[in-house]
Amino acid sequence: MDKKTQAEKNLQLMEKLTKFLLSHPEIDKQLPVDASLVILSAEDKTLNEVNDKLIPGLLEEGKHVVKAQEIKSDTNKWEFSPISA
Amino acid sequence: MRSRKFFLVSVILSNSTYDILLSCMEKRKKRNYKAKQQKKIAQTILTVSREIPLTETDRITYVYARDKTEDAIREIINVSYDAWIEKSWLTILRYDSTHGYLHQHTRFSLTQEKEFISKEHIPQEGSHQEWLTWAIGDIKTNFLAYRQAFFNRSDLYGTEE
Repeated sequence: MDKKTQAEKNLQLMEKLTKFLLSHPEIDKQLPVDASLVILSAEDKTLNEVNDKLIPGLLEEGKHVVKAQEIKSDTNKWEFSPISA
Repeated sequence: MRSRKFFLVSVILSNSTYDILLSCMEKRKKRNYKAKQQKKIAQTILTVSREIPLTETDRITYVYARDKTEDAIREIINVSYDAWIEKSWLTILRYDSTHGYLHQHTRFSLTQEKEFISKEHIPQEGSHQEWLTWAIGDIKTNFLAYRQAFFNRSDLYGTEE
């Protein structure tokens, strides 16, 4: 997957994720206040593979990395799992 | 006893000195009240930062101040598109609501740090949450155009993947 496609796909998902977090402050509150959110699509495995490769670099930078997994369902739902170094 | 002392002090001090003293006391009272209020606000405001990597060399970051008691966004501190160029992260474009309205800062080029500041075509009405959603939506829609324009202004065209 080229960078342009990766960026475009992540931008689409980022908008959905942000709307979800803003409308669910009770979930947002559970995340670290300075979280780096690595997005994982419900359907696009290729995107998930390239996004997974972003994690080691973020951990090296000392970021609080959290995987944001989109859940395939009618409603916009996400699951979050923190990643430790 | 205390009131007698106060009377004596009042007599000793001339009228103007007494006025100055009262004014100073009033100012100090106001200052203390302001400091207390600011402390109270600081205790209820939480700064939240979310960084979302798009690729190894592109990321979106948004930072906002949330009122913990009301769960409402009080300020957009930053919504930015950053690119990894020449071994460091560079903010190409960002939004904030520092002056009470949403506006855009665009970095001129890689070598020139000066920014274009604009509030044109940016909603000036609505809640902070709506502004945040709008800014993210704008970066999503115009990401490639913003990136390409910056690379062109920096004479970096053709060096990107």
